[in-house]
Amino acid sequence: MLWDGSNLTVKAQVFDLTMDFRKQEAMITASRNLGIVDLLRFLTSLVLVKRGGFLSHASAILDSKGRVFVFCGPSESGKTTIARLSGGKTILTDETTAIVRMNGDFYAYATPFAGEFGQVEKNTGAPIRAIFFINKAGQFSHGKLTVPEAIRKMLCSAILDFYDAKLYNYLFDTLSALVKTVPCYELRFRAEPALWEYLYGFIR
Amino acid sequence: MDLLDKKISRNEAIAWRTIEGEALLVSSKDGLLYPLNHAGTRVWELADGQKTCRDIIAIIDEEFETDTKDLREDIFGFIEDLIKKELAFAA
Repeated sequence: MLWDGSNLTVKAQVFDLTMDFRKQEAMITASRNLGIVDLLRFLTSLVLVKRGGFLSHASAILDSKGRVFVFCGPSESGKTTIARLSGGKTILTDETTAIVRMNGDFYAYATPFAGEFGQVEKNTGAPIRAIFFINKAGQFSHGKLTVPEAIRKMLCSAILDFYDAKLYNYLFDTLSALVKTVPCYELRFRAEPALWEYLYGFIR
Repeated sequence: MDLLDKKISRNEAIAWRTIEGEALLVSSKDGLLYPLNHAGTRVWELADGQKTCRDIIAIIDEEFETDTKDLREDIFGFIEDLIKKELAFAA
């Protein structure tokens, strides 16, 4: 892979890609039918990082007050379980959330990169109220993360399948701004509807 | 030449930031995260390609107001590790 700050060239086993960020054009030549979703996710992750955002392994729920709660975690951590417990709120995604910075605020958006829930309910986004790093547990409990803790965890859940120091430094700067703007928590939860009552107990 | 007398430089291909006094590195080799403590962060910042391993150990000794053999050995071991993991180079 070659990246010079504005052009990306990828030579993989089954496809070649050249991408011009200035013209916002990409050319893909593939020797067989690719998983187009994986490829699009790969490209989206690059474009977002370059623009001061990123894709995250996270579910995102929009509440009636127009605020998004983002739940990050690896497979089996409970992202889809939390989406199932949304109780009438809007599920933006149960798998891949696009986090975007606009006018100094951070927004979470639905993406077409669906998980078990399939297609998104609404192709929309809203300001992020809080970010949770989730684990299933027997009891509800939470703890606020320090800035370095939150950045480390956010970095682990960010999707960027391409190493480039410049891109990672963009990502670092975005994450630093994000975790200073949006409160981040570790959340252990029981899979039951009382989840939202618990969250609203400390997130007003 | 002994590592002590070699100049230590950060690998420029490593993405890193210092957050609240602690550096966080992402390895270009395997994508692993390396969070450094305060002393490790100071070593990382001092690895500018101008200072030798011996210089770095002396500065840390002075700044952290310790003069123990253990600390010097720890810092030396840490620098060896950075080089082994290709996070830094010695020349």
